[in-house]
Amino acid sequence: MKSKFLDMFDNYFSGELSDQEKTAFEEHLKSDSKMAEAFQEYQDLRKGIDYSIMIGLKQELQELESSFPQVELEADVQHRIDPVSTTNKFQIWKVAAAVVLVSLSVGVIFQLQQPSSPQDLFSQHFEPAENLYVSIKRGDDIEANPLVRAFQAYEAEDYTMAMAEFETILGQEEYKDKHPMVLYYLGSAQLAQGQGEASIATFERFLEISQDNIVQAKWYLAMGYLQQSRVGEATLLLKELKLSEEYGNDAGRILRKLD
Amino acid sequence: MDQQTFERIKMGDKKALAKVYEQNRDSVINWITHKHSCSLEEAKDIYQDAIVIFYHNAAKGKISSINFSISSYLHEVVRRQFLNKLKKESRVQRGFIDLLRSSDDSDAENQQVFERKLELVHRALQELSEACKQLIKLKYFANLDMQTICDQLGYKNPETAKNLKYKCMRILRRKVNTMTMGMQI
Repeated sequence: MKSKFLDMFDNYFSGELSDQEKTAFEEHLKSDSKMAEAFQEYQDLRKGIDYSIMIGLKQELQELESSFPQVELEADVQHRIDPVSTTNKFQIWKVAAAVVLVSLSVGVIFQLQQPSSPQDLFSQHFEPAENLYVSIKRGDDIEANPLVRAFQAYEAEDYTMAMAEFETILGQEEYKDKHPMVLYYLGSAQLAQGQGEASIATFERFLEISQDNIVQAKWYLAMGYLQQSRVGEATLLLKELKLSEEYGNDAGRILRKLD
Repeated sequence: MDQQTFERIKMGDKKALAKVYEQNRDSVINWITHKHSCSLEEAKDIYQDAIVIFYHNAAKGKISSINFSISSYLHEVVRRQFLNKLKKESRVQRGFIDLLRSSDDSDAENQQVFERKLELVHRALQELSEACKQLIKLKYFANLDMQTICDQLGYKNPETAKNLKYKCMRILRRKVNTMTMGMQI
């Protein structure tokens, strides 16, 4: 590869070319087969370099990991690991043995439940609500039905688009307060985008007008409070949710972490 | 994460990255084992992959803002990149390959060719001098300009670093071509 090619390709990749130069470069690539071939080779080298550095870093992290004491698994996590899997059983015993050994050797009593930040707890427990409201079929005419359009975006995890569509729908008189589930999924999309404050208002409104999905909405409201570090309000809701079948375990776990 | 730490990681500072690794290790690994009932070793493996992806995305400017909790970001990487691959054989490195693959490399035959090329460049890079490896990493992974590279590696001026860049890339290319020919014989 000639040096002039290398500089040109470097400049193209690092964004140092003006729009005009960029267009000229791309046109040149189409008409010059030698340059196109060199460019392909250059791209392959760059990807290979990235790959090599990632592999190298992974190895360094493995070495770093081996220099740390064993990860402190929470007690309930150990129970949840498949009890019939011999591999997992072996791992658990290995972990348990390592924890005992390290404890003995350095005289440390491990504290199994460390307090976590509300935002970390949000990240660990929040998952966007699954769309069970609007059935999306292949070939649906997305222009014809705004709900389909909104839920297609939601299912594609394009939450920005989904929020815009949900808000448009809710602004229409025929939908306003008549389809609370649109609010529910709007709140979920807002949480997925890290907009905890907006989601709190959305779920509070949902709970005022809806008769269904009350427990689920309270869970998401609690998630919003966690995301916003409103620990007192989150705790109150989670204590209530601790009694529910669906969220009892998770709510209990979060409450222990908040202590 | 504060801006200073993020900038250091973007510039390839491994110490800053190791700190991030340590700070988030317990909570993310616990979360992975809890959420997906996988073994501790699998969870560690996935966590390490997520850190590598974070490092890659930071260097490539794919993370524009640091107004996020690194813990949230790592959870999201794990969720998006790895969970559906947990059960696959040889999952290790698959996430990295997927990250680098373009649409042209996606059919089965091209996929094999693509993976072979990555592996060859990886092997060839191991044979380069430390000076070349450092320079290539800063220039092509971290996307730093020649002046910054010059400052980091202590070269006299950017022109010296640039000449070394030509030389290193020429050697790398030659080694890859030699290895490719060796495979074809």
